[in-house]
Amino acid sequence: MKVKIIVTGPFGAGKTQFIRTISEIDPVLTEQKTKNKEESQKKDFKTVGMDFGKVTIDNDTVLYLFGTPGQDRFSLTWESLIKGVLGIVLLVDSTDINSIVKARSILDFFYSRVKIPYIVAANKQDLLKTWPIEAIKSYLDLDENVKILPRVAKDKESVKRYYLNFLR
Amino acid sequence: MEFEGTIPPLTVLDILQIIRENKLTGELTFYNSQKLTLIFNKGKITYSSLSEEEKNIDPIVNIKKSIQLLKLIKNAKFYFKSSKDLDNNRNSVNLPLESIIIEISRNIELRELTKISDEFIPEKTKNYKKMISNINITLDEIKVLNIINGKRTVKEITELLKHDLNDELKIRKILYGLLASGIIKRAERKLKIDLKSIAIDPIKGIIRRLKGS
Ligand SMILES: Nc1nc2c(ncn2[C@@H]2O[C@H](COP(=O)(O)OP(=O)(O)OP(=O)(O)O)[C@@H](O)[C@H]2O)c(=O)[nH]1
Ligand SMILES: [Mg+2]
Repeated sequence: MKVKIIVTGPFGAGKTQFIRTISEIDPVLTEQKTKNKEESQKKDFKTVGMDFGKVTIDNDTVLYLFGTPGQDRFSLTWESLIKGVLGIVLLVDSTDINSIVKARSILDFFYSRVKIPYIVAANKQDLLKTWPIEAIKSYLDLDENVKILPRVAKDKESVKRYYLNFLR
Repeated sequence: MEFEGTIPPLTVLDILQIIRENKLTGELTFYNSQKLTLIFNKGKITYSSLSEEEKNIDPIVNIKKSIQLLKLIKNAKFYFKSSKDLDNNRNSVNLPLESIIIEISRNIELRELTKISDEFIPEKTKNYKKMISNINITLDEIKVLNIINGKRTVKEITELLKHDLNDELKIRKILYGLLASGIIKRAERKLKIDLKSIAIDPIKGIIRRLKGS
């Protein structure tokens, strides 16, 4: 069985990093150098197409991870991406209030369209001046069904610990 | 707990909502041309510092004055830092934030309404009746509240009330105030897929994969 998961979040939240960390194949990445000033202050490359990763669970189940670009707000690609999706991972950059604000409208977009499980990952917890999880949860008005957890997409061990934590 | 940021992109309401919801104790300071500091105890206002000229001996008067100032903060830096819960001594003031939030929401401007997106679906919280009985709520606010059913989107709510209330901005302002004060919340969703089948629970799938690798 093929299971489709969307990895989404605002510009620079760490979506590509996340897929890179857990995918067993080299993700098909579509990175391009950032040009405008606001973007390049944040990082050197951005995703323009779509990230793609694959995680084999067992003989029957394979997860396919689709990373949305963080750039354009909900283009047609987003609508077509939704078809058949079974889970959404929403990443936010916990150090950047603008990232948290933008994540909210992305959440509203998916929320009103598909009734599937979500997790919100408050990313980049290794950095200083991160917003507390509880504050992010309040700002996003998450309901009790949605997990929000701190994580560091860069660090594979942290990703593992994070999911083990999630199981308990 | 500690956090800091700017207005915009946040608003005074967002910050008060975080403090109320998490019942925070600590000090919130806004920095713009003036500095305004508010002290909270378990999510309620207990003290506000005003400049010497404006200061009154009655702490309630001081807080009321600072609420007027809060309504005007549209551009500022802010900083919140937690401290230990204060003892509730008999003389201390403890004003709940709900009615203050509703009051401030009436002064919200269009550009501050990004949080109330067309696609947002609100529902009433369990305690909403009790909560509104303690607040000076307007007839228009009641009208908006009555039409919230956990299924309608913000867009549908504004469509339905547009003719009656004659002002879309006002409807969104009311929704924002009700949300920040905890009278309404994001509607919970009944998941459509069958989570019993582990194979299609993607989150568990990722976990298993990570455990195995
Ligand atoms: N410190 C730290 N940096 C991270 C973490 N996750 C990602 N980054 C960095 O944050 C920057 C953005 O990460 P990306 O994975 O490119 O973000 P993205 O969400 O794919 O960005 P777009 O696709 O362009 O929207 C990169 O420089 C990453 O190395 C983390 O957990 N901690
Ligand atoms: Mg990317």
